[in-house]
Amino acid sequence: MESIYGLLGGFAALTNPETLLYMVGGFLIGTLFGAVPGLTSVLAIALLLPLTYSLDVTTALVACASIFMAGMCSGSITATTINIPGAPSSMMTAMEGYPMQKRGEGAKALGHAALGSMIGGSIGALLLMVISPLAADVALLIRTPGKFSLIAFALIVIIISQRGSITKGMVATLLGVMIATIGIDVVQPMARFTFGSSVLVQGIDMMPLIIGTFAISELLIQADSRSTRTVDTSKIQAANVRRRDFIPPLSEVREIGLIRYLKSALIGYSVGILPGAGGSMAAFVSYAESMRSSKHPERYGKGNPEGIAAAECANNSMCGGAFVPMLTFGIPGDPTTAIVLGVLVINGLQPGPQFMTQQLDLVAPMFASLFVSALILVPLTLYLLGPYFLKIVSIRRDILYSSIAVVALVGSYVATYSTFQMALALVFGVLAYFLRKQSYPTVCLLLGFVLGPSLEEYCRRALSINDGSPMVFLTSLDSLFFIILTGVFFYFMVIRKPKKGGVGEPPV
Amino acid sequence: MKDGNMTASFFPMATAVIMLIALVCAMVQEVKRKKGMKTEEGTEQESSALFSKSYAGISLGAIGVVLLTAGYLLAFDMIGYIVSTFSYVLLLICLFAGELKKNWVMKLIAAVVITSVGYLLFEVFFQVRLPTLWSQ
Repeated sequence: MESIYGLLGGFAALTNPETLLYMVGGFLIGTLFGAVPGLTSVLAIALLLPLTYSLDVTTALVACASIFMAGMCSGSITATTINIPGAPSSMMTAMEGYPMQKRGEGAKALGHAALGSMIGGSIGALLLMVISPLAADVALLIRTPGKFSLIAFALIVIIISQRGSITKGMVATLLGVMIATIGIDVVQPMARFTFGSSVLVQGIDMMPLIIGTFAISELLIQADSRSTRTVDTSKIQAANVRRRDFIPPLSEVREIGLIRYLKSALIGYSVGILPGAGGSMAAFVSYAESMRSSKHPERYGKGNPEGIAAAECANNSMCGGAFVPMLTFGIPGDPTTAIVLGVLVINGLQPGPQFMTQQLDLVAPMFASLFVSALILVPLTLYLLGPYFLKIVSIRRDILYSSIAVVALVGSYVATYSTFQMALALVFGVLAYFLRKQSYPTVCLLLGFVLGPSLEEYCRRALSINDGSPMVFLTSLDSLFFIILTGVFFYFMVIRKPKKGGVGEPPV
Repeated sequence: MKDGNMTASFFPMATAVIMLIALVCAMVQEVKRKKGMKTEEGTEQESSALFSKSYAGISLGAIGVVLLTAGYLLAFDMIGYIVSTFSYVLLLICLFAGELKKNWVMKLIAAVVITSVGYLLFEVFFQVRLPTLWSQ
């Protein structure tokens, strides 16, 4: 009962004009960053991170949630209109949306995408509110050896879900873990890898790492490209769209069916809970399942609203699922929730089993923001801004990226008032640039960095309780469970690779 | 290991060992892949743009951004936010536009606007003190 009041309190918090402003502002920024190819909502949240030092934690979380939700659905704008997904999660939407655009039904395709996003996002947020307290209860059962195995499980699943190369994922993850060992040891008061420098004793902050890997490296990558605008305006046909074109006809919605929406949302939510999967995976799995169960699978790939609905519904529902492991176990599974974890840590909060009950008043507004963003802001933005979308996504690159550079660098300065953090951000930016050039996943680097210290701490604690015998990981039940689970995932994802369902590889 | 407790060096050493193994695997894979790709060599794209040359796999554009940013970091504390940001943005815009001659007025205006919006955002809106030229 108490938690229901707490959650309702979250909605009440949104009525505070300042919080509301941040939610709407966050949503618009998320829409912009999600829609423009080359920018992602992760970058938007990364740029927001230094500002959270001077923001109220609730407000920051509310903004993060709405950016996350907006970024997931706005990628469909360019995916549909010019066949360039604004975000990787909209790859499947491009496959159905672009053929519809060529038939002159682009606005309707966007309408279907928004409707799917709205339904999926709301269901995901609702499930998050219902399930996370239960998950927190389960999390209480896990003790130290189990925590080690759980984090190891998360890291291994993150590595093996990298579709490029498992070895590269592993190298990137371990690099993250290694960077995290700089500074004071997690168990003993002893400085490691400081090379006699006093600035490194504190360890590496998450903020310069995030700014470096997501903002600075993007600048360096973009410096190679020679086009003057983010989207070539000549590709866009100046179609006159009217607002009511965006509303999908009821008959088509009925054809897609409530069941398909619900199923896609559930798939998206479950994929979200898994570490390392993310929106593109959610959209892909849901799209494949929708095609498998469809009465007319032959229509897929030729502009079928069913596919758009399934993909968009799943990737927005993923947002809700992704928060579950982060809030209840303190284990983020994707870059966005890792940054949200950073926001919490900056404000001295450590998510974990008790977090949900003790700090519900802090996270409830975030849940509410996730829900309201999906249910109200997604359709409203499409309806109000829809006709102007194509003008928005074509931005002069020189101005866009120099603005991002200033916000990223000055942001990392203001967080701690030291140019040392700015320099660190640049160093990590260069590192991430090389990693990305050689297709090492930077997401693994970040998650390794975030999870590394806890992995080490639980490993050493578990061993010291049991006189250094590693058998404890096999003898305690919770730990054994996660080790077996790791084995199961490894079996299905590496040894018996999933069959491709005729729609190609999932987008990276 | 010491009295059943791991020492501080155990974990970094363990990660380093796994890392080395993974790196060897990655190198082997890369060498194999290169061998398979040899037949496709010579198809690298050539472009005549100003910053498209690359040295050791790093493009000139990226090197430019790194150098500019490093210069910006040095200048930031010394000459303050406004002057350093203005010049940084102006140079970055030139770099991203790929040319130095055209549209000077536009570039100057853009640099002024970005600098002042940044100032408003951080100094006024978030009330953080940025270094200034006259504070030193």
